[in-house]
Parts: sequence; structure tokens; C-alpha cells
Amino acid sequence: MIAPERPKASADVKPIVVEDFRPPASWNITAVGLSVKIAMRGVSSNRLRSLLTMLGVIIGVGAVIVAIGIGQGSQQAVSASIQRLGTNVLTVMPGQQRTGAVSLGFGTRSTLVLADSDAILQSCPSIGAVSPQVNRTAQVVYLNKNENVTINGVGTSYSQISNHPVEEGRFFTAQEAKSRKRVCLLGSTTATNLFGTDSPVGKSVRIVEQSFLVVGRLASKGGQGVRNPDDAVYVPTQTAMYRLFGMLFVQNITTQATDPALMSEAQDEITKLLHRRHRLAANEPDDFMIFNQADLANARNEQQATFSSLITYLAIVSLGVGGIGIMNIMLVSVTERTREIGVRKAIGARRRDILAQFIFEALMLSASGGLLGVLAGLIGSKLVGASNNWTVAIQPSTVILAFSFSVIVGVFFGFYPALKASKLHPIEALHYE
Amino acid sequence: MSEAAASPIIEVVHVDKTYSTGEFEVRALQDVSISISAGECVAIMGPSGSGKSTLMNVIGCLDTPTSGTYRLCGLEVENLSEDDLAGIRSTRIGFVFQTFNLIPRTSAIDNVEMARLYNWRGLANRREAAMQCLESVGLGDRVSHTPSELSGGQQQRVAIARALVNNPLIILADEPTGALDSKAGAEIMAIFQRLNRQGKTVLLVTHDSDIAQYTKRIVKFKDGQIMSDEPTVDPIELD
Ligand SMILES: Nc1ncnc2c1ncn2[C@@H]1O[C@H](COP(=O)(O)OP(=O)(O)OP(=O)(O)O)[C@@H](O)[C@H]1O
Ligand SMILES: [Mg+2]
Repeated sequence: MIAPERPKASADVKPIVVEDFRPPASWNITAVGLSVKIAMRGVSSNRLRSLLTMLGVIIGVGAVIVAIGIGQGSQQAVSASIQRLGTNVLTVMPGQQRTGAVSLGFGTRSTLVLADSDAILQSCPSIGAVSPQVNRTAQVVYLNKNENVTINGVGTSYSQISNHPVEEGRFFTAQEAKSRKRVCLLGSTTATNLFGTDSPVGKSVRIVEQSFLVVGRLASKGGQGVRNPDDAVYVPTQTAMYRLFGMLFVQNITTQATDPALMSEAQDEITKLLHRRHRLAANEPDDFMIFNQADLANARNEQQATFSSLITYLAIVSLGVGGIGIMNIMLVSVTERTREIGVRKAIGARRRDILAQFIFEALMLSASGGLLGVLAGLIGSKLVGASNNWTVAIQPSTVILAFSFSVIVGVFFGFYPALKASKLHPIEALHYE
Repeated sequence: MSEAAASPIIEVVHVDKTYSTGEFEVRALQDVSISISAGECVAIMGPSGSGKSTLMNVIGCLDTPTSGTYRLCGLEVENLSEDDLAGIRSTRIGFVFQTFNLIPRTSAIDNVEMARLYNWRGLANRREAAMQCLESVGLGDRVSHTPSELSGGQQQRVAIARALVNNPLIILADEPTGALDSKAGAEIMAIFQRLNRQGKTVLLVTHDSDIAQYTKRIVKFKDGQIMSDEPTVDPIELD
């Protein structure tokens, strides 16, 4: 073979040093940023398919927000009503009266007397306070003003048990109650209706043609329906029973346990005591009922809690389905773009560059789905809350949590396709048809 | 020869490349040795399946030989990791493919700029560099066109701009004019000749002896072996 005549080298060949091709560690951070840029171009070139792919994530994230919003709303509603009703409260009501087989409902029978209330306080160690209560509707008159309100006969511990503090003046004393004094406290609405901005304390009002001294005004409790505790007058139970309405039985005895942990003991103690006091035989049913106010509140919100957990399942399923959808579309994308991957590798993309690009593409799909899902969740929970009259509580942390689910789904389900892409051999990828 | 051999940019020494697919073994390269100096313009020719692309892939650090040694600028590359090879490709080598291999739905300038994103020293001024490279191949007025809006010759010029944007030492082109008519092919060769005059080492594979006529040295392959390696007789210089 004839040795060919070679042209003279036009430049000296500089040797390659490692730094020329092996980037410093700090480059990896920059490279990740660049991968985001590259991935953005990839996603934006196929919008409709991207949107369809996101659907599962949109529903999933939206459902997370609705579920948590309604769940927390129900908890808030429960604790608000417990707050309103007072803590550690057990309410004793007369048992139901039966005429034949027809129940007339609780409280229709008169079985509870004032002495029962005193006995509960004395002999039930788990009970710290009691308030025997009656109520009627009556006219209250001050000068020419005239209001139809609820007259509540309550015990001296009412304020404490029911979380209804005195705002001005004082509560009536045990002595005043015992001697059936004509003293009263006004609920905040009634006080305003009768006295405007003037202080009612020390004034006299007339109830059922009798003159009552106003000793105090109670704080506003927040109105709720027909028995608005703010639109009421509070008098000693004894005064209400014997001086105003001529009653022999109390309508309920509200009791407070000394500790929330003692609620069931307290209930047992009251049951045993009243069973004995009412001279019921061992096999005879109780002629009274004991309600745990917290249980009542919980029961009322159980429907809401059930709905919330149903939505939670929906959220999990949708996020899973959405994630698989993203994985599927990413696998298709990797296959479709095998040549592109080959080209990128040929011109210098490292494995991790390709890995990052496809993970970010998946992430962008799922995170955009997440953003839309947050929007859907906010609107959805408003609608669900409004149509069922439920409290919905959406905290920023809920939104962040729901959104981060979409991010996690994107990374988790995007990882495998991206890994597959990054492991392609450049030549095989270039020759892929 | 002695002065050229003193500074070879590409040194392939007793290289074998064997592909084994199932029971078959294909010896795509058999004891191939070739040395190319900086600033050469070489055409590789030979029948289909003779191992031309295989050699280009080895030289381009896309593939490693089964045995033998390959030195690029004095550095033995066969034991480097995949990522190191990627780094060498991005900084030293510009690839031009027969089918252009531009990224679809992406503008010409983005296609060119992309190559800088994988070069850790290439981040600064990458847009300007991409623009300059496109201008140097005569596409300054087509920068925002996507591949589907460009002719084959124009697409290949975008691909050349992409190969140039990292300022490589070597341009490797595997049948760069194979998908083009003779006029567009000559235009591409004019660009390669200009690059070669500017000092780049150009290595291209072609089936077309007219195209080979534009180079300075012709290496002929057959069955994985070099049959001949001679200076081009009456090379044509375009301007
Ligand atoms: N990935 C591979 N797996 C198995 N065999 C391969 C592979 N790549 C190439 N070959 C074989 O190696 C030999 C050389 O292939 P190569 O692509 O280098 O030929 P070529 O000279 O470029 O041909 P053409 O002119 O058709 O492009 C062929 O016989 C081919 O079948
Ligand atoms: Mg080939």
C-alpha cells in the first residue's frame, strides 16, 4: 500500500484533559434547571394529550381537597357545637311516654324533680356541677317595650356548664335561688331589645305580671334557631317553677362531669342513682334518658365524615389511575421520541440529563394537573358544602398537601419511563424506526 | 508523513468490532488501523455493510471497540464511562447524520442551541453562538422555522450548525448528502470545505464518488477492513 501524502496539520492537537468533558459537581444543579427548560418544550408541544393525561390527577387532587375540606369542616362543626353546648356535659331528660305502642318522644313524661338534681350533685362523685332546667315562652316588659322570649329556669351553675358567661352584673346566688327570689339575667339580644345601649343591671322588668330585678346580662353566645340563648331571660329554676309557671317537674337536668375521661362513669352513677330514687325494679326500663352532648354533635356530623372518607377513597383511586395514565403516556412518549433521545445523547446528553428531562416532563404534566385539581377542589368543596349546608374548612396546608400529592405522583410514575429513556444506547436509539 | 504523524488527532490501532446477535457473530471491523491528523478532510467509502458507520461510531465515541485501541487527541477513550464519552462528544465532536435528526416541532435556533445545553462550558452566550452558526451556514433568515418548514438541504445546514455550535475539533458526517440532490449536496460539501479550511478535521462517509472528490483523502472499506487509503486524485475545491 502506498503511504498517502498527508496535508500538514493546521493546528497543534491539544490533548484532552479530564476537566474538558467531566463537568464539576456544581454543574448538576445547572443541568437540572436546563432539564426543566427542555422538558417544558416537550410538554407544550402536545397540549390536548397532556390535558387528557392530567385528568386523573385533576380529579385526584380535587378530591383530596374536597375530602379534607369537608372532613375538617365536620370536625370544626362538632367542636363548635360542643363548645356551644359546654364541655363534659351530660343531659338527663325524662323518659319517653308510651300510649300503647306509640312513642311520644323523649321529655314527654314528667319524672324528674328538683330533688333528683340535688341528689345527683351530692351522690355522684364524677359530677361536678348540675343545673336543673325548665323553660317556657312568656312576655317580658320594660316600660313600654314588650318582648316575647324564652324564660329559662336554670341552676346557679348554668353559666359554667353551658359556657355562657356573665358579661355585666352578676349571676344569681344559691340563696336567691333557694328562696325563689324574683331576680333575672338577660340574654344579650333581649337586653338590647329592651334597653338599647343602656345597662339593664339594677332595673326592673315584668314577667307574667311580676316584677323582676335584673342582676346581670349574659354574653352573646351566637344565635341558633328558635331557642336562641341570646334572646332569653334567665331566672332561678325554683322561681320559674313555683312563682311563674306552677310546675312540679323539671324538664331536664344538665350535669357536668369533673373530667372528660369520667363521662361514662358519670353516666353509670346517674343511671344507678335515678333508678333507685325512682323506685324502679331491676328489670324495669329507665324512666329517664341520659344524652352525651358530644356524642349528639358527633352523630349529627357523622354523615359528613362518611362522605369525607368516601371522597378520600376516590382521591386515592384517582391519583393512582392518574399516575398510571402519566406513566403510560410517558412510556409512549419515550418510544415515540427514541430517535430524539439518540440525537441528544450523540450531541452530549448524559444519562442523568435524559433522566431529568423525562422526570420533569412527567412532573410538569402532573403538577399542571395538580394546579387544575386545586382549582376544581376549591370550587367542588364550595358546591358540596353549599348544597348540603355543611361547614367546609379549607386551609392553605390542605391545598399544599393536595398539590404535593400531584408532584409525588409525577415523580413516582414518571421515574420508570425516564429511567428507560436514560438507559437507551445512543446508536440503537438513533437507528430506531 | 512524519510531521503529520507527530500530531494525529484520531488514532485507531488494531481495532476490532464484533456484533453478536444470537448465534451470529458479525465482525464489523477487523483489525482496522487508521491515523488522521488535525485539519484533514477524509472520505470513507465502501459497499453497504462494510463497516463504515461502525468506524464512525467508534471515532465519534458513540461506541467502543471490542478490542484494540482508540486515541482521540492522545486520550485513550475505550475505558471511559458512558457519561465521560458524552462529555467528549459534546465538546470535541460534531455529528451530522444522513437523516438530519433535528428535533421536530422545535425551531432551528432551538435545535442548534440545544447542543450547548449539554456542554458545561457552553452555557454563556449560547443564543448568540447558535445564531452565529446558523448565519455561517446561510440560514440567518430561517432561525424560527421548524424542521417541517425547511427543505432537506436547509435541514442539513441546521444540523451542521448544531454540530458546530460547541466549536468541535472534528466533524463526523455519515452520508450527509445521501438524502439530498446533487446541487444541495454540493452546497453542503462547500460548507465542509470551508470548515476544513478554518482548521476543522472533517471525516465523512459517502457512497458517491463525486462527493468524495471534494475531500483530500479517500479511505476505502470492504468487509470490515481498509482496502485502500490514498490522497484524492484531482480534488475539487469549491468556494
Ligand atoms: N447493532 C448491530 N448489531 C448487529 N450487527 C450490526 C449492528 N450494527 C452494524 N452491524 C453489522 O455490522 C456490519 C457493518 O455495519 P455498518 O453499519 O458499519 O455498515 P456500513 O458500511 O455503514 O453500511 P451502509 O453503507 O449500508 O451504511 C454490517 O454487517 C451490519 O449488519
Ligand atoms: Mg452506514
